Amino acid sequence: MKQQTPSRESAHAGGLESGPEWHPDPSSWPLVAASWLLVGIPLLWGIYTTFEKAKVMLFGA
Amino acid sequence: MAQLLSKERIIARPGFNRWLVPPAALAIHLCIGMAYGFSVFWKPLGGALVGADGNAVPACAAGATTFAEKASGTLKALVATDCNWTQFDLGWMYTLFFVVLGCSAAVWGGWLERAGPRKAGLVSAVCWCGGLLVSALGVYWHQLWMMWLGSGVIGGVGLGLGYISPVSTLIKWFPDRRGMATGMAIMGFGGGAMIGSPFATLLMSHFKTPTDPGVWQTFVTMAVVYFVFMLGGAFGYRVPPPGWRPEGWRPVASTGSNTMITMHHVHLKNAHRTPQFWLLWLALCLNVSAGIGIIGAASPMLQETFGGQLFGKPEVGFGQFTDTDKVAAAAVGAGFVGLISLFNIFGRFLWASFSDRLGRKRTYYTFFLLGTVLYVLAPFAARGDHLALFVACFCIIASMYGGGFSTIPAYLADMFGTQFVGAIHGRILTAWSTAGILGPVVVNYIHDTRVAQGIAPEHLYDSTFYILAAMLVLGFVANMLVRPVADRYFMTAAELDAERKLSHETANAK
Repeated sequence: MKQQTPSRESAHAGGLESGPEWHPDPSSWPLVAASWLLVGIPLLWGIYTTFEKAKVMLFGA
Repeated sequence: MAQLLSKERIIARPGFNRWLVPPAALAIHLCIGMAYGFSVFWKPLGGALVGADGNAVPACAAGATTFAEKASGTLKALVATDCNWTQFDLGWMYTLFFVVLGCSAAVWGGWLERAGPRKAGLVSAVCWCGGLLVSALGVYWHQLWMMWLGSGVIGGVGLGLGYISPVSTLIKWFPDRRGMATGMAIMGFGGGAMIGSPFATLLMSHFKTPTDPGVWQTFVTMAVVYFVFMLGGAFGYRVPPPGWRPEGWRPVASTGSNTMITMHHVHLKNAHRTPQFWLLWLALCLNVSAGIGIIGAASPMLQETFGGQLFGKPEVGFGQFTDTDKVAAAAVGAGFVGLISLFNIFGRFLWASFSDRLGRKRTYYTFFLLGTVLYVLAPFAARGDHLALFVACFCIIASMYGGGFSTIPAYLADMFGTQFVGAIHGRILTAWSTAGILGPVVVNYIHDTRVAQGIAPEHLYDSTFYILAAMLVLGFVANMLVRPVADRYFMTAAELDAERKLSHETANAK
């Protein structure tokens, strides 16, 4: 990366360097699991139905 | 209501779990991804109007063979209520989808950055699902122009806003895994048709009667289901406070080990003034062009190239297919399309995640180098009757086609910073719109020309593959020319603070 100008350095300092950081609340994990199930189940069903079609290609009719 | 949708309202409070954001993004992308699966409606709609004898009435473009005749039939079909629509008439919906997607993402990307992902997600849901409802009316009244306007134009706006709505947010939540985070969302867009197509087939078989294929009822049902899902996604979005980072993580660039990741931010108004923007635009356009045409023609390409070898009769060429052979070949062709779709969606996640380790530029190098080798190899696989090798070539190409889409947001964030990455990504999606026209035109034009020259079916695609390989070589050069953005394009600290105030990023969470 090229040498940065001082004003851009301060943009840097005011941006990524001084932000908050935290650990997720442990009680949030069940909600995370539920959210992933909600989108994951339809997605897996779609992948399964596509795989059923693709089987003809992979293993013959 | 306005308060509920505002960006201030969705700034996360300490303890928020960032892993809640990707499912919200997936909920939206899985719904709008149905755009890829719209062809499931073409056949039922082609016979929607039934005469007194119980048979489908002729198409508006019945007997048309040339492009001009077909286009004339389409013009008639737009408002006629006494003739059926052809695949040619309906196929324009795809063009509308991807042209409007790119244009709306480019036009409203800047608004999205300030309004926030929740408002954009809601507008996307209203447009996409509202467009489906307008289409349902169009099918009910047999008005093709309403289909085009509903799903193609209004729905296309929903596609554009929905597609880019989570990009900026995900990149800010996952500064340590930008590629993986956006790859998960964009995988959803690829997977939308996998859910939507069989879902639509189920609904149509439920609603159909001897005189009605059940399409408008399917559109209404899908609009309601998708609206609920998309609303859930939009209200699930949270944005991190400015500068948030995962506990213990430090930016890579600050250690000086990665010169291709900037810590600064380019304003949207300056992005297109940089050569990097246009080089990445070209790289994306060429990668998509090289994949989209072949993916669209996958089934006929396989059947023409391998003929009876697909169903155990290697002595039968494509030109000698009986009706039974055609059914058997079509089943294998559909399987090939399914296999390509699987590689396309998994490629979106895997290549983007891989780019977090390898770097974006090297990942794009891989797409162009490996893609070129595979396209050069494909004609040899065809000549030697190596079906498995041929299929493997196109599965890998499909994975890199998807990977190009999912890696580009992280590439842009690396080059231009995160402040306007969603809007810049929106603008670069015009490359997709361009490729959506360029890729199929190149493939279909060369195919039709070689058919007219009387070339044997198994060699119809040889020169197409070499041309697509040449396009990838050009893409390789464009990617090679990408260098870090010059300092003069970055925002100053004062400009960044002013922009964050405009974007309501300094308010407290509620």
